[in-house]
Amino acid sequence: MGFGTGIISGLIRVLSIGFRKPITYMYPESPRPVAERFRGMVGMRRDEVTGQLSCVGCGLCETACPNDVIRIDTSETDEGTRWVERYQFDLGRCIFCYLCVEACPVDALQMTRAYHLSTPNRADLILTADDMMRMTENPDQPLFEHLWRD
Amino acid sequence: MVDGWDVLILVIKALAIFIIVPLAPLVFVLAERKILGRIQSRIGPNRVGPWGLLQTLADGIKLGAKEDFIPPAGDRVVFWLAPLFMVVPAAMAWAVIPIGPEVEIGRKIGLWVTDLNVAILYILALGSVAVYGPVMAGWSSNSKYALFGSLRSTAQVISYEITMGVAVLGVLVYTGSFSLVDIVEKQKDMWFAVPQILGLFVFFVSGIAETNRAPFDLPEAETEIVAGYHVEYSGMRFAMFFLAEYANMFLVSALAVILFFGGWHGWTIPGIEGLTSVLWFMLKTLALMFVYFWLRATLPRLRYDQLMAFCWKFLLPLGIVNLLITAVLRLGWS
Repeated sequence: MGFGTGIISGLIRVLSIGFRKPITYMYPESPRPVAERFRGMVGMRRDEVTGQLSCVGCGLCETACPNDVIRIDTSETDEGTRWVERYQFDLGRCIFCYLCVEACPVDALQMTRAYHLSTPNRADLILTADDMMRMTENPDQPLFEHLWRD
Repeated sequence: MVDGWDVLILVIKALAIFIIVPLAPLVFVLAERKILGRIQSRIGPNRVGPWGLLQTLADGIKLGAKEDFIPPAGDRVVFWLAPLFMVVPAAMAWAVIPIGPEVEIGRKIGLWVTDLNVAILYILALGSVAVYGPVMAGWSSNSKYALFGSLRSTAQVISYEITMGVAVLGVLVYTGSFSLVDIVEKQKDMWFAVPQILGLFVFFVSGIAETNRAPFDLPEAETEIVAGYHVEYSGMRFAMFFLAEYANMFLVSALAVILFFGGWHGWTIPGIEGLTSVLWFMLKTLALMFVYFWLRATLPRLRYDQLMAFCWKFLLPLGIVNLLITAVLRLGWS
């Protein structure tokens, strides 16, 4: 190789790359499709029969969580039936480890592929069971859709 | 005889320069970002306006709204003057750049502000004045990075001015005139890029070094000395440095087109020769601007000793050899 040929071949290489298609995904308009087994937000299954929350309030997910994300308040009726008063999921603390999903005995907690989860406000990230059920059904929909430009 | 029309035409030409010189960088900055983006498999600016066309304008407005900070320990007056020493020569040099031939619109109008008979010397002299910009900026900032940047810039620009002068001399030996209009007219049949290929190489490399662009961007090396001589500048003053850099690139490209690529000569459409000539000139200049961006995307920054060795041990001998060959050939011709 002669003197200066490296520069020439480098210039040609750079130019050839310049004619390739950019690999950019224009995020909000056309989001990048995710892999089939992508680890997204933890979702919640809606019970097929009642259409209600399928969680039985056993509290195993609360125990399994390494990061204190889940909080369940339950109440018991006089007949001894447990009832979920409040299911709270702090997405800001979640590390997407899915230990809660493994722990759930009734498969109420599920894996989803949802990843449009951003918000400027931390307090927004404390989700309810309704939010989780909605995201399980529509994982491609942004979690805070009202914040998105139309 | 000079009449009112001549004065009016001169004023219009001067105004055109005053509009083009600040506006052209707006386009070039965007073009550079877009081209660099494509080369890096990105898209580049695309949010502000259609295809990001208003991005540079938005950046300019942002800079205009920023605080104008003057270092308390610095030299106020020199700090004020330094950006002007960058911008004014860049705009002044355009006075002698012919962008097209003489056209007939009622009367004969040359598409240049003035056809100076020492135009090349004038431009080289303005280039020397522009060295004071970085020097004053670096010194008055009272910051070590700025001072390093200005020292590097001074050594670099002064060294590469010599090689640039030598490269221009080759063309001058061919034409026997310092006037840029004469130089372009002499290239009607053959561009000087053909016999002066070495001169073109020396000139363009020196031009890149003179304008402190990659791979010779040591004076403003972000990774080494933060931002070099303009590290303490903010707001509109910084914008002036930025503007001057792109205006100087435009100037060097235009000068290379005039000296080596036949200026406005090219295939013309009968009837609108003037317009096609200007288009040819612009097309050639923009092609050279693209080379600037292309080099920036490809080459890493030189080390300081490599920069100096390249200038004095390679470029200068090459330029002198080119000058000698040209002179001998010219002597044999006549």
